[in-house]
Amino acid sequence: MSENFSSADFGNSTKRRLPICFCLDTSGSMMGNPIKQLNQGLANFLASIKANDDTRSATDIAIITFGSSVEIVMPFGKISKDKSLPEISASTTLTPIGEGVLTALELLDLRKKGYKEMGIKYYQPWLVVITDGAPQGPNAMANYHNAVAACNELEKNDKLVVFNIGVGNGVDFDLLKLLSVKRPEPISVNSADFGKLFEFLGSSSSSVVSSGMNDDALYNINAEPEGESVGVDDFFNFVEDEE
Amino acid sequence: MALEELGNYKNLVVDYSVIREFGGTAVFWEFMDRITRTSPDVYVSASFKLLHYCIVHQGDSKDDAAQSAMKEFCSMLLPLHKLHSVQTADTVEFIKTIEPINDCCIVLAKDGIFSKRIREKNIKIDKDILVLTPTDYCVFHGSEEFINAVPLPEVSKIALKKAYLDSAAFCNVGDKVITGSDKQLELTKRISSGAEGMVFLTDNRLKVAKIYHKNVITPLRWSKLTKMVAMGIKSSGICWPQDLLFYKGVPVGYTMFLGKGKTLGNIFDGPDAMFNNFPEWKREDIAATLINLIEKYLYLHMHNIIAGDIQLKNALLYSSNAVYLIDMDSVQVGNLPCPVGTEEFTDPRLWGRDFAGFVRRLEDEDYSIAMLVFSTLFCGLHPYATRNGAETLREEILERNFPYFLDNSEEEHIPLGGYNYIWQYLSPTLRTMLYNTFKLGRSYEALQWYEAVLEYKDNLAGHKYEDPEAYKMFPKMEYHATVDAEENTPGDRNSVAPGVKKRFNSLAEARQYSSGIHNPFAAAAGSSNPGMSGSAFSRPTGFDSPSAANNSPFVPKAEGNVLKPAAQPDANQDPKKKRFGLF
Repeated sequence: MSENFSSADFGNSTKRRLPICFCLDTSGSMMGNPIKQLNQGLANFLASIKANDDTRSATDIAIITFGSSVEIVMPFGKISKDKSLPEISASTTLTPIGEGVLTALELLDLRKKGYKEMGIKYYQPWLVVITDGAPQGPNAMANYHNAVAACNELEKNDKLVVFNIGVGNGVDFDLLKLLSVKRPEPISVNSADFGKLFEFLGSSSSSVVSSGMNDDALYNINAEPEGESVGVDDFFNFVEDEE
Repeated sequence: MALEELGNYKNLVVDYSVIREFGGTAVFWEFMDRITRTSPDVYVSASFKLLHYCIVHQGDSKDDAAQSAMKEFCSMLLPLHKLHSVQTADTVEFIKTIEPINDCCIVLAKDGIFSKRIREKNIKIDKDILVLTPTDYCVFHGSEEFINAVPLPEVSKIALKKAYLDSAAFCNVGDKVITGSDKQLELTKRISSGAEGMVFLTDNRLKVAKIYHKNVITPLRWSKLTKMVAMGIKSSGICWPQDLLFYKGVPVGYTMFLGKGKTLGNIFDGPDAMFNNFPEWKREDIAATLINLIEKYLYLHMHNIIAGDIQLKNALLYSSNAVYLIDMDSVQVGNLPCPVGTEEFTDPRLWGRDFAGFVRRLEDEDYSIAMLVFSTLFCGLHPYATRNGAETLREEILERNFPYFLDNSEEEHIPLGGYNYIWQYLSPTLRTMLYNTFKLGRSYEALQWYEAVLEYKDNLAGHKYEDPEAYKMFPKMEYHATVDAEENTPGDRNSVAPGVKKRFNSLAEARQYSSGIHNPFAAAAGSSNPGMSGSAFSRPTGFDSPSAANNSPFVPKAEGNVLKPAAQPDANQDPKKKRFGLF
């Protein structure tokens, strides 16, 4: 299958890539304001990636939605200047999270194979799952547990960074928590906070590709500055002590 | 101080640090006076000339005294045929070469590159070592005594102090900040924002202000900035802190000169980026850019500074003649460490260590310089970017999975895109050094890299290579700039329709995988010569012989012109060569 990888699909940038696959809930409960906020957040996220010299050719993004079925809204490939994001809409009652996650893992795996074939360096991929509910639909539970097993296996071996994000209070956080073995609790946001969430994801991806931030730091969202906070007078005492 | 001891020796080995640090001071005049009176034979290594290039090219007025001192030194010794140059930039090699010279004393400054190399490598020397200081000097009998008396520094305690400045002082456009020398400066426009702070234009046209975000200023950072400002480095190519900044009495940042251009990482980023930015460029421009960069890092090394976080995004490039080092506030100054570094560019021996917890050595930076050399020559590529390699870059680096071979016998792991040709057409010296570094784990001193890249550039400038492909930015590749080269990014999946133009092709695609591709330099590189002995460095043919003076780079030429480097990078924009993308 390796012959199928066209180099044009990867660009000829020499940057180390960070593949990010978004896996988004488009079930009926997301209709209205939440989906609007989600679209807005994603659009801002992509815009900030494109505007930043460090992330533009290094960040590699795909978007998958799960509603009545799993859809690949945007496949991998360097973000282009003029392509805007297709509008994501919510409409159905099903929530096949498991199928969505499994598809995402497949896409990520394929992308990694492509990098290897091309000789492109990469960071370990990110899986960003955003849902406002719980698995629903035929075999949804069984598939979800398959997805959890696959995710956990990769994450344990430092081959995947998982962002499991719950929106609002209809989320089954116990189930969502299973997706990551490293994150103590799922990230919980209000749909009104999508802006902040995507800002965080954008700045984190920029930290990874520009300053080689450790993956472990991605699991610690509220990082306080290290050490003791001191006022101006004490600060100068410190500095002078040494001199 | 009288430096009488110097009169006891028939031979002196003089390190360039004596010129740079003491030129123009009483110590230097005393030193010259002694030499004039006793007229010893003076030996220097290739570093003497090379480091002086670096000084001259930075054009910092604070080094004027060093430049005059150099002239003084050479114009006194050369007519007498008393100055002998040993043609190696490698410290161990140099020491070995001067070993047979009896009745000899080594003269150096404590924190110069030579002194640090001797101490880092614990080189055994049975000669007296005279260490100059601004007010005094000290003679050690042998390197053991010297190393014991002048150990490598411990990390400053302030680096281990985990604290940060917490204050409500926050300034922005329109605010007036006060410099350490009590001048007022207004922030007029925000030009960038990063993880640590923001950069503003100011009402002083020449200076920009970096203002840190809240909670970012640590005691280490502030002590370092204070020290850096006091050093007074003013070279325009190094965006060095010039003045501290306070707002309402609270430390907030510093001023620096503004660098121009794009980051190196965004230009040296594969063929599209290279051709979009510099369609006219040749190999020689790449070599010139690299020389410019290495000179700046060597300049810092001479000042007891280790850059620490060398990477392509920490330099701005306007043209091959205008390169700026940026983000200088993280460097290691004396025993104030550089707390950051990336996995890609840092010597794997240092991985996992707390960078704030130890003083980096020159030898720690040699790997980063080698990385810089490779990734610049290969237009952004990482040496361990390999096809079908290990799962992570980490593993590739640790296993030294370098996909290039001296005899080009195997190319299947080299990333596609013509990088195999870049490798084939490099100078034999560079190929050998890169191979030894990244495949065999050897290391070369920064000065040796500088010397090797200078040689490569001189070969290109002097048309020493027969094959015209050797001069191209991407040898043997054809670049078709299409309209969408700028507009459309090639990686966009949606734009990849059948029949889409492949914009970057090999001229010899069919031969890409065949082994034993003709290499014009293969014979010279010689895989049977993995060591550097022989071809790469010419050893002096014995400086005791009368012909020794001819070996010296300091052949008396026109006055005042003695140390002009061989070839200056030419203005790289040649107007008659406007052939965008037609390679």
